[in-house]
Amino acid sequence: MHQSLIIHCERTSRKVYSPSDGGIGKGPGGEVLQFNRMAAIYSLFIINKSGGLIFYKDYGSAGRMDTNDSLRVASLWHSMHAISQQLSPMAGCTGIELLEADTFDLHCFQSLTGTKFFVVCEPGSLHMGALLKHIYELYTDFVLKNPFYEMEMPIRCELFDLNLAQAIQKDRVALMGR
Amino acid sequence: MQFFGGTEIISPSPPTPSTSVNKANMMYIFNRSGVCLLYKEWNRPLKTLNAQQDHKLMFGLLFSLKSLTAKMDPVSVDKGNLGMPQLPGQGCSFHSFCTNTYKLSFMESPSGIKIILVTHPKMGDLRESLRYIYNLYVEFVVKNPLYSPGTPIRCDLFNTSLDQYVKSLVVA
Repeated sequence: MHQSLIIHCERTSRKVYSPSDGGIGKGPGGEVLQFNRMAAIYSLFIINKSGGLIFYKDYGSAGRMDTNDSLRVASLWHSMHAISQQLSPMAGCTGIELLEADTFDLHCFQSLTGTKFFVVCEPGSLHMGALLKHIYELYTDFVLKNPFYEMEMPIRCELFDLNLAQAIQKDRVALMGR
Repeated sequence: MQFFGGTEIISPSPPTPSTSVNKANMMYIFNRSGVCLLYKEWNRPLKTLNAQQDHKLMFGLLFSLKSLTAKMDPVSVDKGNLGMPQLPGQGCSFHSFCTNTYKLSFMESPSGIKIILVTHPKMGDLRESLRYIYNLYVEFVVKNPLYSPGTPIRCDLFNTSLDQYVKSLVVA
């Protein structure tokens, strides 16, 4: 379950403990340690309103998906999202927001224009809704306001990448939870 | 998984009558080949499709979601190709998903029986409840000598105990 944590720990050679509640953990000597939240997220997808993948970033999941697979997964998710609205017992369903699988949670946020953002994270990760809204904010600021960006096309914006990396960092997630 | 044990006695305490409104919307049981063995609804104001189409769509959604989760699994290294047929219990599966109007809980037994319960979105973890329902199925349907496998379930004892149990579920 915490495999990616360990991998990340080795890579950065920082002391990482994995209390599932996140935030701050206690080391064996009783010292307070920052729990590295970056490892809690496995990957991030952004898909446009017609189900095309416009952004995909992997943060250390095992067995990386290739480009074709990520495109297929994205459009499959788009259809599943639409079908789940059809099957709703009540009117006004806006599609799947959280999918709980055996080894991961998938949180999805759909903007008013139909762009979907979804993150794959460890089961039971908190504050993913806030993180997705923050990513949406970054998208509006650094992608949509970029004059060279063409709508519905893959995102290649340096500033977006930069700010996204910051947002995924542990402190931001931990802070937004408060 | 605990539900392998066939001789297990149904353990959870008998349902306590509750005064709150019914939180379950509907329930489906599918067999391995996608035949809908049971469909029950308690509260479903919106119907977009006819019954048969609805069952097909539900089975298709579960099938595709299972292949999606198997492919997305961030923990295992060898995931195979997307859409590769998988045996029950093989690959990473899912146990529930939430939307703003409902929560769908899903369980698949080793023999490929799929139990789906659609409830209020605020409902807690229903894995134990689905296992209990599976036990009811084993006790009252599989052990019924008059029931032939693969046909729609018409066992009074199962229906009444299921109804009673599902109505006792409350939002945690």
